[in-house]
Formats: sequence, C-alpha cells, structure tokens
Amino acid sequence: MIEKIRGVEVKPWSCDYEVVHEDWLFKLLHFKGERKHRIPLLLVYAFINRPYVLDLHEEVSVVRKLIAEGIDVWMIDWGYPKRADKFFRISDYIDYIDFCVEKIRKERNVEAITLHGYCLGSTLAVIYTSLHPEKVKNLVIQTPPINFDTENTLALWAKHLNPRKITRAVGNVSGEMLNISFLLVDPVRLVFSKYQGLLDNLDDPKFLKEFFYMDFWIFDSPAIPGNVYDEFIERWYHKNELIKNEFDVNGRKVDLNRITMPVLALYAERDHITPPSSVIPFLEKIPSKDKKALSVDKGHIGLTVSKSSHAKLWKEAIKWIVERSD
Amino acid sequence: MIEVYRKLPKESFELILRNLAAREYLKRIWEQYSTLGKLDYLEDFDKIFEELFRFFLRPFELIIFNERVIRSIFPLQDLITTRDVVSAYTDFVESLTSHMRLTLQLLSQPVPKTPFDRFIEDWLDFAKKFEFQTAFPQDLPFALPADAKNYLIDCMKHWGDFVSDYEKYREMLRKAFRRSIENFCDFLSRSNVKSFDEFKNLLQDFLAKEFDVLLKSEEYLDLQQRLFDALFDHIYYLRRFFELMLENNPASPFATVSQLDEAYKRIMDLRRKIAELEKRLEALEVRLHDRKD
Repeated sequence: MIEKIRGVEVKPWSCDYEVVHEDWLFKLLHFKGERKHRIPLLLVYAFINRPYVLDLHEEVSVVRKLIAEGIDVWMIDWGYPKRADKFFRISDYIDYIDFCVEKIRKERNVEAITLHGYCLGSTLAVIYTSLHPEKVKNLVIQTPPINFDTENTLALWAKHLNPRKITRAVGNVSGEMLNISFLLVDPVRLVFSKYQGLLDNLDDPKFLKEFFYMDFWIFDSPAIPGNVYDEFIERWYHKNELIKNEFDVNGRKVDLNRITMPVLALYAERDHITPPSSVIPFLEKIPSKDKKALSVDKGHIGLTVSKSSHAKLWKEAIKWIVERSD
Repeated sequence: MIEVYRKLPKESFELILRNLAAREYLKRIWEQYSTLGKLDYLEDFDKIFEELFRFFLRPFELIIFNERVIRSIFPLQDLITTRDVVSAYTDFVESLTSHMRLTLQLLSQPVPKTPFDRFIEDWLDFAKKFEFQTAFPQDLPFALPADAKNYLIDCMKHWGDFVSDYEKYREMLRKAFRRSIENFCDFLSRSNVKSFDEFKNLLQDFLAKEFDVLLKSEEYLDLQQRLFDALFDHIYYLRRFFELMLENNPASPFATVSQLDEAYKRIMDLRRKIAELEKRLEALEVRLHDRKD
C-alpha cells in the first residue's frame, strides 16, 4: 500500500496565471488564454478552503473550460489568514472585490463584468452585486449559501454556536478546527466509508489520483479571521440577515431587489453544506427576469469536480456564460 | 512510511492508518459471522469505535494537557500531599531512632554513630527542603496579581464543566455507535449476508443512519454547545490568567497575545482609514482633472 500511495503526485493549478495585484492577504490572479469575448469573468471563491478546486487538475478544471471557450478569467485568492488578520471584516472582502472589479473594468475598458461566486464566495458576490449592480453584467452563483435558515446538520450546528466565545479564546478559527467540524457532520461516510473505499481501490491509479487530489485540497484549509467568523455565524446563520435584506456593509443596506441582471445558480441536490433550500428562496426573491438554475445529483464538491458534472452541468453553465459575454 | 507521512496531509495519513486497523477488526468480526451465521456485540466493535472517533475526540483530550500545565506550575495539591507524607515519615523515623537509641544505651556504652544514624541525618536534611518549598504555594492565593485570581477560579470552573460534558459527549457517541451495531446484529440474525463487501456496506449504512439522526438531535446540539462553551471559556480564562502573570512580572520580556491583538486591531483600523483617504484623494484628482479639461 505504501508503495502505491508514495507514487501519487498532486500538483493542483493546471492553468497558467499571474498575480496581478497583492494586498497583504488578498491576491488578484489572471489566467493566461486567448480572449474571444468582451466581458471578463471574476471568480470569487469562499474564504474557507482554497480556490484551486476550480482548477484542480486538467480533467475537471472549470477554469480550463472557461478559458477554452475564450473567456477572460480572473480570480481572487483570499490567502491564509494569520493571527495578525484577526480583525478583518466581511466589509474588507467586499472592498477588495470592488477594487478588483474596478481594476478589471479599467484594464478591459468595460462597464460591467461577470461575477462568479463559489460557496461563501457566492454570498460575497451577491452582497457585492446588490451594492454595485451597475458593475455586474451577469451573476453566477455556485453552491451558494444565501438563505441560512436550513435544516442540514452544519446549519443546525452553526445556529447552536457561540462564535465570540470561540474567537476570544483562539483568535482565528483554524483550518484544523474547520476540518474536524466538516468531517464530524457526517463521520461515518467521510471518515469511514470514504477511506474504506480507498482501501478497496488501491490498485486503481486513476482512483488514487482523484482521491488524493481531493484529499490534499480538503485538508488545505486556511483559518477564518476571528471577526469574519463572528459576523458570518451571527449575522448569516443566527439572524439570516442576507435573505431578509437586513445585512449591511459599512452602513449600506444590501437589498436583493437590486439584482436585476442575468443570474445563473448552480446547486447540488445532495449538498449537505449548502442544500438546495439555501438558494431557491433567493432565486424566487430577486427581480431578475433572466434567471436560471442548473442542478446535479451530487454533493457540494462533486458539482465542481465530478466528471459527470463536467459532462453536463458545466457544459450548459459555460454556454450560458458565453452567450452573455459580448 | 516516513516518506508517506511527510507527503500526505496529516489527516489523510491518520485516517488511512485508522481505517486499515478498523478493517482488520471488521474482518475478524466478519469471520465470526460467516462461521456462526449470527453476531453479537463483540469487543472488536469497541475497537472500531475507537479508531473512528479518536480523530474527533483527540483534540478535546489534548486540552486536558492544559490542566497538567496548571498543576505543574502550581503543584499546591501535590506539594501538600508530599509534605504530609514526608512529615509523617519523619515523625516515624524520629520515633524509631529514639527507640533504637534508648535500646542501644541500655545494652552498651558509648553509642557509636552507625550508618543508620547517618541515613537519619541525611533524611532530615532532605525533608527540610520540602518545608522550605511549601512556603510559597501556601502564599500563592495572596501573591496573584489583581484579577488573575478570578481568571484562575473561572478557568477551573469551566474546566470542571468541560470534563463533565466531555464524558457525557463521549458516552453519547459511544451509545449511538452501540445502538447501531445492535440493530445491525439484529438485522444479520434475520438475513443471509454472503460477502465481506456486503457486510461492510451494511454496517456503514446502519452507522450512518444512526449518526445522521443523533447529530441533528436537540440533545446532541445542546450538549455540543455546552461542551464548546466550557472548552473555549476555559481556554480564554486560562490564557488571561497567564497573561496577567506575565504582564505583572517586570522581568518578563514577552508581549502577550492580548497586547498584540490590540496592536493588530489598531493597525487594521489605520489601514481602513488610509484606504478611505486614498479613495477620496483619487476622487479629488479626477475632479481636478475634469476641471482642467
């Protein structure tokens, strides 16, 4: 077994990119590729885990597929917060999105861009779009938590947490703590069945490759800055402010009624982190006339990295984006 | 093995090893079932529980070291216990010596200094060291900086809550595990499972079903919340206690985490103000530029 595992090489980020801007913790990346469409696309990833899951390896790279269709792809990397970053706030993330959007608009001489959020990055993307609808031509949200009043285990746990007790004790919420929580949500499938599956497939190099690419990504977990964790648990999970139009950024109300541009929602039917009920009320609420939902019978991560998702859902999703990128 | 340990995420490495062990136990259980055609709760199931849940329980148990740290810094209880033992033993040795000396005086004159006498003298010297050391811990409650005493008391209170809730938490997981295994055994007695794979998949289904219900139950949610509250309060008060001890020691060369946090907070606030000023300057420049045009 040792020999078989020793042979596995994990090298995420299959596409070439350059770091266009760096601001302490945050980075703006630009992927190299031939631009065939006018409207650039900015990927806003979550502040949990790392964004390269969208470019994990060649066979399941969403970024590669977008580039292949001639989309100009940019991405925000939220970095690895340290103790010194404990006092970041959600508004700092929104401000950086604005900085990036401005930079891209100037560089490409466009009025508005396609904003593509993933998981909690979708939450940030929705907030940003509500505040600056004129700068967002299309909004794509992937496995998005917008309505936090759901009945999945993770949401129930979040509602029964005192985040301030945690952050005053440990500062930031470490990746290790997050990993344990995410696994404990479903301990039998994620700790037992999954690894028993690995033991059953040790002779299959393809299985090993995919398994370890995922495991490296899953356990490559940055910490969440303490203040951001407080806000995210209290204002989103406890009070569900966003869907109620009660959330504000530096005193500016986030009003979902301002989302009138085309919206594409991608969600997974068996998502135990952001179930379909996290997004469907949002789609019903926004006034956009051009809105579409695509779903797949997978889990939270399967939507992004499974081959069947790439064969069907991503084909349609990228077609939708391309049709609105000129 | 070391190379794989170095290469893999530590979580993956641990979970692979634990699952290898769990599979061995499972195979032994399967062999018993395939021989007897029925199954009761075996000790090997407990070992599987340990392999599966060590990953989750270990972080809690690591916290127990905090309590060891407090004990090592303030070994009040240990010293008092040791002092009492030493004192009792010293009384015993003194009375024995006196008795022997008297006996020897009756039997012979003069009394020579024996190796036993030298041992007694050494022992009494040794015991004196304890008398000296016990003086400081006795004074400790009065020597703590202001507020530190309250942090220490709070820290120990939350510690007590944590230990009690942790025991309940562990027991709750163990009971759910046992319940699902008993259901599994009951199911096996009514069916005929032919392969190890089928056996393993069935077990996983029974376990998953039980834990899906448990982890969403009010009882679990309440206990988990209490456990986390007690744990993080304990950590916070312990840290504040140590910080006050450091801050009040003029010879301490260390800044505390709270002091650093205060500095980080001020830097972040200044950073936001600078960003805001930069934006305003940029807007002014644009306006000036427009006027020139």
